[in-house]
Amino acid sequence: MAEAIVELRGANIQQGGRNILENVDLRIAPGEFVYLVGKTGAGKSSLLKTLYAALPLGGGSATVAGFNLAKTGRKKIPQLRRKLGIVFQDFNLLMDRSVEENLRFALRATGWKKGTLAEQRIDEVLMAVGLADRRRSMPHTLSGGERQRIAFARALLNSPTLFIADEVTGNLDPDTSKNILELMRKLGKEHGTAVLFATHDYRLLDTFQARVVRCEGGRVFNAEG
Amino acid sequence: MPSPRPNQLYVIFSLSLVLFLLGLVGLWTFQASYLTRQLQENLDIIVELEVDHTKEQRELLLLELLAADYHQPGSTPEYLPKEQALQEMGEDLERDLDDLGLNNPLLDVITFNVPIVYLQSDSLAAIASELQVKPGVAGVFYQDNFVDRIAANARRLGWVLLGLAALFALVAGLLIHNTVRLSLYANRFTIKTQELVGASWGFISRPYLWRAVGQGLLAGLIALTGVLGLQVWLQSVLPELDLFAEPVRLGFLYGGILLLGLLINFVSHYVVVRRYLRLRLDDLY
Repeated sequence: MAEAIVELRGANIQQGGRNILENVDLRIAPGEFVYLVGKTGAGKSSLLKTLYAALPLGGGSATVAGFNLAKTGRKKIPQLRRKLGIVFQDFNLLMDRSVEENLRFALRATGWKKGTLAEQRIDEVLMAVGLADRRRSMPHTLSGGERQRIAFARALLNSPTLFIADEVTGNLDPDTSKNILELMRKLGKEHGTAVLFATHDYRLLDTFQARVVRCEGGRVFNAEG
Repeated sequence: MPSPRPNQLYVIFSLSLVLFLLGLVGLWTFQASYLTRQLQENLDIIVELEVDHTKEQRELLLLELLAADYHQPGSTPEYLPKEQALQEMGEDLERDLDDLGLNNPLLDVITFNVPIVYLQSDSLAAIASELQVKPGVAGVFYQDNFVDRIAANARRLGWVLLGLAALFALVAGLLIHNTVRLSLYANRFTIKTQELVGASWGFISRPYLWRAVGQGLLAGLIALTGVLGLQVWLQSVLPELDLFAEPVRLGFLYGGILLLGLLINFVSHYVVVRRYLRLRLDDLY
């Protein structure tokens, strides 16, 4: 069995010192697509935040992209996050910079030097999300779906081993949501990246078959999609 | 990377203003201590000579005073004959005292100044006792209370100004910190976004801290220009203030203003950026 990208055993997920999810067991293999579902407030976001170390692990053990979260200090967190592609509902793009400046900024923030290699990488990720022609556009001129694609492009820059998508379709219409979901699966397959796709919209689960993990009543349940 | 915003101008403006005011307090402190020292150093010790003293006794006394430890270096003991003293008194009173037909009641005097370290009641008393036994000396006089009063007031003024400067520095720090906090508030999502894409705290902080150094220096230079301009103007209006008399101390004051501006702004930026870095994403809204 290949080494898991995410391995949680008996993990407690906390927010403000209170257990939101208890005794969580979760394993995600490289390249695997997993839906994370549950009602609003069920603990999906808290679980994801724990995975990218924005919340401390409340107990148990957790390994993400080779990092033992219980032992990952503040200085190691940036290295963990460079192995993850984190995408949110509200895009988190810098609205005062163009698409290419947003991507260049993320590259520089993660240690890339200015130059041909960086520019080539920007071209590659924009091509991967189908927005090569919007390189010089400002975010406010893009549609919601396009902005979300740019956020994916940014998440792709460092060839992550895991995509963490937190309600990324929350602001999008049903058709665009399905397109985004398809794009995530495609990117995951093409780049061998695992995807943990959190949503409260159960209708999206019909888009394609994948494993479903459900948060409910303070517990996490594994089920086949 | 931070982008230029009007907020940055507020930071520079507030910082310049506060540094200017601190510069004024510093200038006032230096000037007060300089003027007090001048006043103390110019305090005359008066040695009255006996009516029948000889020229030799007087000249020997002048030489001894010049060589004494308690004589203010750079100054010369002055001999004032009683005739000249009477004439000066007449000029002060705007009357010709010779017309009164009285005998000159004054005595010949020698006046001299002592360094500040000797301006204590006991030191002055010791000097007086030493001089009083010299041949030809009738008495030694000085304004004892005046000396004590100057020394006490100088001390009190020093403490008041020091307290004022400390209070000012504290208020300045808080004011600047608050302005910086508001200025960086607009950048909180940029800071968090960088963190989430995997930027280190050092990388995120660096541009803000460089900006803080630039702003601090600029604000310091603006404040210095203001202080210097005011000094030049005051010197032209009131030359007796002698505002440029101590260039070395002024240099320290100017350097201090620059350094303080840089330090206050740098520390404020550092604290605020760290605060935003420590905040959870949910707390940013």
